[in-house]
Amino acid sequence: MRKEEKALLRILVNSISLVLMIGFVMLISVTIIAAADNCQSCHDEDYNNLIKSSVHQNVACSSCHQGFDQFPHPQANLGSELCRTCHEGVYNDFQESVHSQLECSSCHEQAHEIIDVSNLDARMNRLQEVKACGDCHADSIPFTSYQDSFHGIGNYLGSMENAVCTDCHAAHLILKETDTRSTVHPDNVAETCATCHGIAAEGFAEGKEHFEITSTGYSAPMYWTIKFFTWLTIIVIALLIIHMELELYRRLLNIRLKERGN
Amino acid sequence: MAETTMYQRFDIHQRIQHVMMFVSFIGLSISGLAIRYYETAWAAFIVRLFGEFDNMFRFHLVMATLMLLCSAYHLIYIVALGLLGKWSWATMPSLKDVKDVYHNILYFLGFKDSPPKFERYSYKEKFDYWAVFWGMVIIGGSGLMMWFPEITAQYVPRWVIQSARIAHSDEAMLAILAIFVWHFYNVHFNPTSFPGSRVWYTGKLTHEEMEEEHPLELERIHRQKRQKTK
Repeated sequence: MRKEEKALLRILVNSISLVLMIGFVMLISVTIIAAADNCQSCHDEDYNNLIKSSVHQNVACSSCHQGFDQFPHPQANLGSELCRTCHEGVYNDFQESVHSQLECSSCHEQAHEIIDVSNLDARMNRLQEVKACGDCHADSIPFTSYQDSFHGIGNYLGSMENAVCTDCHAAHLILKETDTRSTVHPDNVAETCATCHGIAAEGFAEGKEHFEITSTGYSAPMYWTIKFFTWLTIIVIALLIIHMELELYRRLLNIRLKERGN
Repeated sequence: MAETTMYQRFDIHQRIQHVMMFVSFIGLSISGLAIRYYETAWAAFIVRLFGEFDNMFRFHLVMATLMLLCSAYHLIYIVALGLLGKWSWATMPSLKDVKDVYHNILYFLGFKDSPPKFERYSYKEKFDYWAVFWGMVIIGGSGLMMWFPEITAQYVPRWVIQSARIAHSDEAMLAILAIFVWHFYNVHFNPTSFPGSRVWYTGKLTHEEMEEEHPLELERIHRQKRQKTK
């Protein structure tokens, strides 16, 4: 009998917990939906077109739009500071970085539009990110040299493996080369390369990554390599074509001589 | 009867090497050109044929491996020929080649009535052969440097690898132009060979072809035959 009683008690406790849990979850959902519904009565379009498909779909409007339950809504500054509420870590990194004067939305989409980074259309997806960095950096040597590099070409053609800007420069804590904590500081760059290239071998991270090809300085060997092969190709192919044309001319001559002979 | 005799020009190893070379060469050209001209619409089209860039690049590395294997095969082959006592200096450039070029140009321009007589390999064929040697060193060497930069960087400064990347692409353009303009003219598009010489497949030339293209070799073969029968 005692055994049966115990079993009965367990079933009872389990059922009550289950009912409570379902109730709790429903309560939260109802609150969120109700809050959204409240806002939706006026802002239906915003909600359905954007937020519903964004990563913030489960965040209540009032989390960011504080005090907006009153009407007319208060004048409010919805800056990056608000993102901090949930994204404290990356916010602090970002505030320390060279980009501290920007807003979160300078690189990410607006809070309503922001979609998961694995989505190929996301502004910070691997295939889109370089373009976004280019909005500010397009005319700089680091940017143009990246585009000409194998990293850049692979990315341009849709490689998911080739390095993008943030793979080397970090995403939020982007620091100047001179900062000892920077991923591209001379002391750290070998380790940064090793995140993809396996070993931080001696010499691998030495030399320049971003440069313009000029006839003097670091890139002189590359400049003269281009010159050498360009002229080698022009001269060799020109001679071969001349040889072909002369041979064809002689074939024509032979046909004419034969005709004249007949 | 002598007119229908076939003359063995390339043995089975040389023919396999040639097939390995042209299969890998075409594969490398298609995928490599898409990388060199990455901003064009046709580059995007080629990438789509492979599904995605990462697939195309792996294909490039597989084809590169095939070409390197072909080169290794050839080097082993010529060493084996030496060990078997069949070593030949026929591919070596000689003073006769320079004279032949001069003679041929005079012939082309109508100053001579007949073209120069070639031995086993004409200067054109020697040029093609050594061009591949030079190309393999430049493109194969630079390709390996880029494929294994972690290892390469332990022995050479980084600017060497960065220059190698330029040499890889530029020398490849020279090779592609030489093959698809010059070599294709010589073995496909010229009126005698069109639509294509079949010696790469059969390995054999007819008596007429030998008389036309390698008269001195033909004379030598007959001379040696006569000496043997004596």
